[in-house]
Amino acid sequence: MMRFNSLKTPLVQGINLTKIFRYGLIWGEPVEAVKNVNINLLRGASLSLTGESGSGKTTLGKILLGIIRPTSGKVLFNGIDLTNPKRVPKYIRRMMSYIPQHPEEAFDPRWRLYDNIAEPLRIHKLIGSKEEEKEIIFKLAEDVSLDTSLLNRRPFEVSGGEIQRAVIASALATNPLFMVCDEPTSMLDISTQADILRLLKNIRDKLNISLLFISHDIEIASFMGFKIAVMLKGRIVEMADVDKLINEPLHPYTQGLLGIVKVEYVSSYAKNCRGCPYYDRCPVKMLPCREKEPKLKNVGGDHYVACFRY
Amino acid sequence: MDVKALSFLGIKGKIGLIIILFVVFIGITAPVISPYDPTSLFEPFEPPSSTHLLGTDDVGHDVLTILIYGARVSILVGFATATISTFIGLLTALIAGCYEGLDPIISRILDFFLVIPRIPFIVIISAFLTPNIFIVILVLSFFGWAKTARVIKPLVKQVYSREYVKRLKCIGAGNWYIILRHILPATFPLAVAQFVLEGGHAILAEASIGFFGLEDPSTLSWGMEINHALQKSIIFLTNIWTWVLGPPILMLTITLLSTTFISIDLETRINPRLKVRSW
Amino acid sequence: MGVSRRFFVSKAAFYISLFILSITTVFLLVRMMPGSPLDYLGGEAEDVPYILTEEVREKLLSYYGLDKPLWEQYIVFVNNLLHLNFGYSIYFSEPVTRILLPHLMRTLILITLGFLFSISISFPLSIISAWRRGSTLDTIITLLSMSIYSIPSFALAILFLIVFSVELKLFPLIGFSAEENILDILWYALGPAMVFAVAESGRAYYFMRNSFISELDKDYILFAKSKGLKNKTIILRHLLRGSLSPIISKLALLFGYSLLSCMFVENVFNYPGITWLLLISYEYYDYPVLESILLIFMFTVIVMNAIADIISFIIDPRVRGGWM
Repeated sequence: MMRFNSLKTPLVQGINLTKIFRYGLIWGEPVEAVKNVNINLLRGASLSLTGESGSGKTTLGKILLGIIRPTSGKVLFNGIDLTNPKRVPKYIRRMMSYIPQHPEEAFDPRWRLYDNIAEPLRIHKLIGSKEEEKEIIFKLAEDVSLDTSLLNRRPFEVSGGEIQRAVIASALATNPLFMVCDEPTSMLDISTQADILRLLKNIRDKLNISLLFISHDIEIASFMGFKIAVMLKGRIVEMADVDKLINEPLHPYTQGLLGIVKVEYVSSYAKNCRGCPYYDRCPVKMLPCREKEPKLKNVGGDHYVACFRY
Repeated sequence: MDVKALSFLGIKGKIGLIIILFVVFIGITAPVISPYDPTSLFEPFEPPSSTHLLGTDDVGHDVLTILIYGARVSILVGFATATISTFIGLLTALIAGCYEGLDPIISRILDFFLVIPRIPFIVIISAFLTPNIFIVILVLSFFGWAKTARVIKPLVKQVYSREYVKRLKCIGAGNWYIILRHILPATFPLAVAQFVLEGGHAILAEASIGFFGLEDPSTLSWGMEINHALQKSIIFLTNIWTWVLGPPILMLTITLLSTTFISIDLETRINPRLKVRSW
Repeated sequence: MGVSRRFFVSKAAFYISLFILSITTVFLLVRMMPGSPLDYLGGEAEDVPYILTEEVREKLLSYYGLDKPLWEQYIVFVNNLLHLNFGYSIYFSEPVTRILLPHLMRTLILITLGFLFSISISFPLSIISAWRRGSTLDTIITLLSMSIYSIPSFALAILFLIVFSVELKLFPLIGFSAEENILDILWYALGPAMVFAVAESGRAYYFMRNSFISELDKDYILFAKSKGLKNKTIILRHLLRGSLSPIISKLALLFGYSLLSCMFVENVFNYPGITWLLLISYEYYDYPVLESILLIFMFTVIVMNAIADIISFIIDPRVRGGWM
């Protein structure tokens, strides 16, 4: 909580981000994966994105990394616009890293773990000699408590938890400032999950990394972040500090996620909607919710919510 | 999808490789091992004897000499066509697979190339240019690359959409770095299988062009030899066909058999479910 | 509904553009061929060009519309095509359709016969070897079909001629009789059709076996097996139904291409099919006939592609994007 207030300039800034996916060349039905999202991430701060599957968490994460180009809006990283990939200097890329959802997909299966971990260093030509590289890799492996004897194996020859450690090591190789973890633990068994989460948290605190942590599990999200943003159908519907959001959730959807209110099961609902994204399922919906979309507004104390009731 | 697939061929592949290497050897050393000069003429239709091991053909060429020089043409056409069309096809597949914006256009172009009937068009093109083997190679590559691209493209797309590629992009790897270091190695075994397949197709197509008598008349190829033989129906009245027609057909068949064996063996290794496309 | 309409519209747009492109390609390639149909207008004297005076020559050129610039010829050509008018053969001095149809019919008879033979060989074999995958029988059949697949079809045809016509004298050496008797036509088509069937069956066997195998690997077949259903029931009720759509659409494609792959067989047997006509019209620069034949080749492939698309659309709901 302390570090959150320490630096005031945002490291990553997403302004009015919208991403519309269109399947098919001319005829595809557009799907709004992310809509009008404003998001700020301070240096060393950590934010968790949560929400059901298909809510656009991963897309938003990738947009902030500049992997996906938003349909409209801007992503500023240290003041540099990432939405124009040609203008992004390579050294900026060094400051980011990405930990994908499936650990076994995160590495080239043909390469040994060692080469995979070393690859970011090689791309940025950060090391002079083979020995130096070896030293750095072993150090990294130690940091993530990965057995160095595994480094000569290929990704499919080690367990999911071990690959995930290697992925984290690789992500740390270039000393990034900003890291996006896309459900890094959802494919692991429970005990490994806890280890990996603790590891990530330690690293974040030690290296002062701004972490964007994506998880569909609000518990894990609250464990990892200083702040939580709840996403629904591509919109951020509520955003606040962890304690506030967990203790007094305002949006009915968040309340549903936390199990405070019982949510009716609705079998199908429209992908794109005109009014409130939660209209179909909301237990406390009102008349304007159908036609008008509520704006995300500050209800005091950095607690943002998009609902007409506040 | 392992690189090991290349160094480790099955029994079928090994047999095919031995045969093809044998044909390559014959082709390369043709001037040394052939008994006569390919232009020298003897009595036509002489039966096999100690002076002409496989007899002579309708104009009096020594059949064995023609056969040996024909290996040279077949191998050259097969190798060159396969190289050119695999190169262009692979490049196209890489571009189409990795640059999403270009994919629809490239796919349409490929679709168009795939409906062009190869042989009839070669017939027409032979009216423009005398089809010496270099023209044949160019024309066959022109028609061949699209198939290679079509086969490799899905794999490129599949690899390109993997998470590790996204991760690499995020940490600053350029598109061509990813293509060269990650995607090319992943598609390499399939490209090799396609290379062999395309080589076989090219050898068959070259023989077909010769078979229709469309090649430059001075070309000494198996297809032309078959064409010359078929023009003279006299060969069927006696047993002349056994040495005039039999050997080139046999050589062509075993060469094609070897390429089929190798490519099918490679493909079963790449795709253990044994999915072999026929087109 | 919306999805399927969109599917059809985009497919139709694609195929129409393919048609236009192929018409243009064929037209340009044929009309730009060096040489002129008038060089051989004599017809009877094959090797000696008929000597034409400049005057007659120009008259003839304007009669056939060949004196106009290429783009005007193109417009006339496309316009004629749209009215299903394939033009007037220069060499044969008859409407193209009159020349083309008998030859096309003979070729169609050949490939239809051959196709029926080839499916009746390869279909049962592919089921057997897919069902008993890895067995000795499967290995033998697969090796055999691979070998047949590699042998060029003209080599097969020559082999057939030598064995059945030269040695055993069962079939005629020459491919046609003067009589237009349907039985005669069938009799002369039988030999080439059999060769064609053998040549094609290697290919057909291979893809059928592959689609059966990928279907057999699916869980529901395993489930049917574990229920203790009889093999016959599983094959008839599950396997065939499941793999029918890829097989039918692939067969449609193969049929489209077989117009091309039978060229060699026709040539060896001197069969008076479309190949013969193609080579003749090529030799004598008979533009209308040549263009028509090439267009037939390309259109068949395109149409068969379209049919394959439609079949897989009708049979396989997954192509439509979601369950109905």
